[in-house]
Amino acid sequence: LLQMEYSISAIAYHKLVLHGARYPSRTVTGILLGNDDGFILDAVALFHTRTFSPMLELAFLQVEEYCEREDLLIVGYYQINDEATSNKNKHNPDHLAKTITNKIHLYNPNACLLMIHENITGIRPCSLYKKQKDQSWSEIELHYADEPEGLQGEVVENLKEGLQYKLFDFDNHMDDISKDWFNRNVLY
Amino acid sequence: EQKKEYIETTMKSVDSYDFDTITTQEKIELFKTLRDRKLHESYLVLKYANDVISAVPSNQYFDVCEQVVVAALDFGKEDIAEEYLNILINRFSEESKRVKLLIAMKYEQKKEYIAAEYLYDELIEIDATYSLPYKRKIAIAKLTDKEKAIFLLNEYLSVFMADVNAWAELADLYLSIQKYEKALFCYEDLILSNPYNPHYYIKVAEIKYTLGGTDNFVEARDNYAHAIELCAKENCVRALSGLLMVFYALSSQKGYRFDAEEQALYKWSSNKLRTEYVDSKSPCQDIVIAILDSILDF
Repeated sequence: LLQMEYSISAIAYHKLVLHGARYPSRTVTGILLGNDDGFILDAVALFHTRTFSPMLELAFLQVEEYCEREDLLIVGYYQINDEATSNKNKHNPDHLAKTITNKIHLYNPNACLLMIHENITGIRPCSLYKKQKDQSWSEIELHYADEPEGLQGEVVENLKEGLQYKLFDFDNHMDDISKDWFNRNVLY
Repeated sequence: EQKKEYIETTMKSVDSYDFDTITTQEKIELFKTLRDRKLHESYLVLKYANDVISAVPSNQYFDVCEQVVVAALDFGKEDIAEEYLNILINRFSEESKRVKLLIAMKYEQKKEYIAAEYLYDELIEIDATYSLPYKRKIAIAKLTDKEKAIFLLNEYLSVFMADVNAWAELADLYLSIQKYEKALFCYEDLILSNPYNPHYYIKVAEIKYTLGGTDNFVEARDNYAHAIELCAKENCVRALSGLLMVFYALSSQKGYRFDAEEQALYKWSSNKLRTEYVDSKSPCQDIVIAILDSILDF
């Protein structure tokens, strides 16, 4: 039985790091999009405020519609905990992370959960989790589609230029619908 | 004239600046907005510190120094924090309340919490009406002991009961430990003292919806509807969208039938949201209209 291998594209990686960098004092969350072969191709920034059902459900409706148009699948969820979370708990899947990933799991049994285990400007800062048959969550390997050192260099450059201020999440969109929360052009 | 200008400046949001073309004058204005609205954008403050310090009017100079110290501590830039803190110490001495607070925050940043709390307690003794030392102690408690933070915050609010931000903070702390009813109490208090602020009704609606069940959905509906009324011309997308989601949730509740009033409200809000997206030429227009035409059409 072949285990699926997961890898993350540069675009998805940059987008979630920018989201985390925009709101360092908050917990940020988002949805991962990709394909059937374990590739995480895009990251959609959800919230930098506490998650509640109505906005979460609406966001998912929009993401599903977006996926149909872009021929993508919802493959997972990401959460970057705020600085107040102690370092040893920062990357542990908490109740919120598990609940949302479980919901995605109903539609996509290969759903994965991505968290950050150290500073987002570090090399390979992501921890990827998958739900096992015994309902526990265990860490699995994540491949980086681009060279990690190169990615880190680009991240630092992006942050120096303040690119995180050009990325908008669903919360921003609700405050101002002229903002594209799918960030289709932020990296170009 | 001056008052109108002041209001317009302070109402500007951080996102309204184009950071590629921002002028020095705009940077000074941004710093003032952040101070007045008590916002933290430490990245921007550090980025523009030099420009602003060299050009800011003298009556704002020391306020900006204080602002840069806090931003520097936020990002762990100890040298910069030290530099600007020294300017303030030289001018106001270490015994000044605001300077002492910054010195304590420096300890906090280094995680020397006992030293920090010692100074905060000293400040509280000197002046029990100075709110910031209490808040810093609560912030420290949040890192290690949420129950203690909640206790301290309740204590703080028994004295500073008009501090709306503190009430919202307490509500959020309760939500973080799933004490939804207590969070709702906080918002009820906020609504009592600020019955015209739509955001509190939206928050109540979000909590009720999340708790689920017909009764809660109905209360969510009423709160969203009230928020929309209060937003008036501003067309609150968040409240409109929330209301539609409530109707969607109610439509799948067994045995729930919409009465004429609800049907009218549903049609009205659906049209309003549609118009909002079309008129503003939102880049997400196609996606939202498609959803309004399919899932949210019942």
